[in-house]
Amino acid sequence: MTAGSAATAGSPASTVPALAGAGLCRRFRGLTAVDDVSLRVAPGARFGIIGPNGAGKTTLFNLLSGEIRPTAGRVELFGRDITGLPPHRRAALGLGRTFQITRVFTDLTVLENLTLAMHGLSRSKLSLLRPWRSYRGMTAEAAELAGQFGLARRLTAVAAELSHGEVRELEVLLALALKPRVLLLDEPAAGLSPAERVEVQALLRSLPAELTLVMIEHDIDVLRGVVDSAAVLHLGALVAQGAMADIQSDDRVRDIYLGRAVRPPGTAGEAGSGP
Amino acid sequence: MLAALQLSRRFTGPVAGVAIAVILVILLQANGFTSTLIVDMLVYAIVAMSLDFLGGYTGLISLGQAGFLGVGAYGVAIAEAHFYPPWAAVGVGLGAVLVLGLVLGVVAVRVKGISFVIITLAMGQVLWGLAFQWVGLSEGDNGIPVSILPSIGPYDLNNALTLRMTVLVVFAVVALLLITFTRSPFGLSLRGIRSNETRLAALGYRTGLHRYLAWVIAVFFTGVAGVLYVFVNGLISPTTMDFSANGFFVLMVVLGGLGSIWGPALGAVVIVLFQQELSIYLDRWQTLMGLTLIAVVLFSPGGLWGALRAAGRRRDALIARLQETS
Repeated sequence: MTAGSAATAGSPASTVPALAGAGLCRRFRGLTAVDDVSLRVAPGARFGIIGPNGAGKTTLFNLLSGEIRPTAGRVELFGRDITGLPPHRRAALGLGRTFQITRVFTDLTVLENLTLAMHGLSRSKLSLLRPWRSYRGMTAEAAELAGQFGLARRLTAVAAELSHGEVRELEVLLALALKPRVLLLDEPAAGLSPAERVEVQALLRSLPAELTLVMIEHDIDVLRGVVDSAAVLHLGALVAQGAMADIQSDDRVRDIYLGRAVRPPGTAGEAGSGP
Repeated sequence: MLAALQLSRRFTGPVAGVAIAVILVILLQANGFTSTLIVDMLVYAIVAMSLDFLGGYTGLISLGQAGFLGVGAYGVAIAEAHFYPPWAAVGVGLGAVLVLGLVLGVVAVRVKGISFVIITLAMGQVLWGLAFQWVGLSEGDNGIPVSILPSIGPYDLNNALTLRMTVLVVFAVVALLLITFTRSPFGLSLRGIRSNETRLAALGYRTGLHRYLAWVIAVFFTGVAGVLYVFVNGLISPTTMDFSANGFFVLMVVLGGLGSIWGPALGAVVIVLFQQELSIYLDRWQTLMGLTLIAVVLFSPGGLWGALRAAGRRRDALIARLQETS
């Protein structure tokens, strides 16, 4: 156990971190899913949280986004304590998230999905008498967002008809529609084909530089080229943190997490060598 | 042929709407069985549409809606029995159902899915039980008659024709309001709740508030139907709120088509036809109704309205094909 281990990413620790967790714990009836995790993510950082399945990554994420409350510890967004805030309040403060099990509105069209997201932080979401289609600014912005990532031709398609890769893109776009300052991505490439992974990686790399990204992934190849630093989670606790290059060559990571030798750089996974 | 199809695509909806309105106005002119039947359909359709707003859009199926119909109706009847003037009695009925909706909503929106069905069922049964057993207030099994209806100047609901036309107008207003609501950003959020509430919360929506508002709207409009009901029937008794009444309302919504507002109105028309027309000629009308429901659920999951929409889509596909070949 490495109780109290802390991970700092990006710029100096003196700046207010975009997102910080302090001593986060979450127990489920005796099972400690997240054990005293502290981390600081600097503004604009590209931060990865890696670990094998069952390491507590998604639980940690849910603590950060507010889906579940921590048993102990604190969550801060740009220095503000958000530990007690429900998800919709955190979203309003600039914390966006995607879900590992894709959660788009499957009965709604792509345009409806994105418009719904656009209204999320506006008072117009409680407007009853004006048709949503008449909010030209919102729908135009939604269409433009879809256009940035190749969903422009799919605006009228019901989300249930989209391909797996398109759903992943829509999922990320829903979060982006709120113009978050910090975006939590829960395994954005899970279940995708190698070609689709390359697309998702390209999408992630094209996100604005001022956006802080925190990304969970159990496949280290997906993170390569997207994140600059990472923390390794094992059995609910942080075991290593630092720059991606260091993480990949860390012996403990190799033993605990990979359970196999890290592949030499020349034969890195096909996903990592995409355009 | 292509031109005819394109014309039909543009005008089917408006033409059908105007035609139905004209037919209704003509039929409602005459006293007698047909106009009574149509008035019943319109009153029940208001309940069915409200139920659809909650069930079809928000995903909250209420099995207690007849209870709120009863509250609106009993509110008027009890107030009149206590010598309130008719308009004040209408205020009492609508006020009672609104307050009850606001209060019970706090409880009802805490649960979803099957728990919501059960909790609304319980609410409906409690309201029915009150109507049945609180004899001092509700006259129990006998019910309460309402004989004096509101009037103002030349507008007099005691005139049967004025009352029937008023029911038609209220139906139209409620239908248009509900349709407007469903097309608004708020309506979109309700569909979002049904589709994936967790995701919607992560997008900044206080989903509980949205469910609460949808509930209050649905309960209030059902109360409006209750006020019309007691004026049309001249009597409110516990039978109107019993369990089978709740079942019939859900049947109307499912048969007509969840999530379409007009569909459940159509469902109300069909169910009332079964109940009041077919039952004259056929003892086993309920068997036939059950078979009809099974057939609709099997062959058109979107209900009767879904079948109409599918026909429209086939026409659009045909238009597209013809345009390609020409």
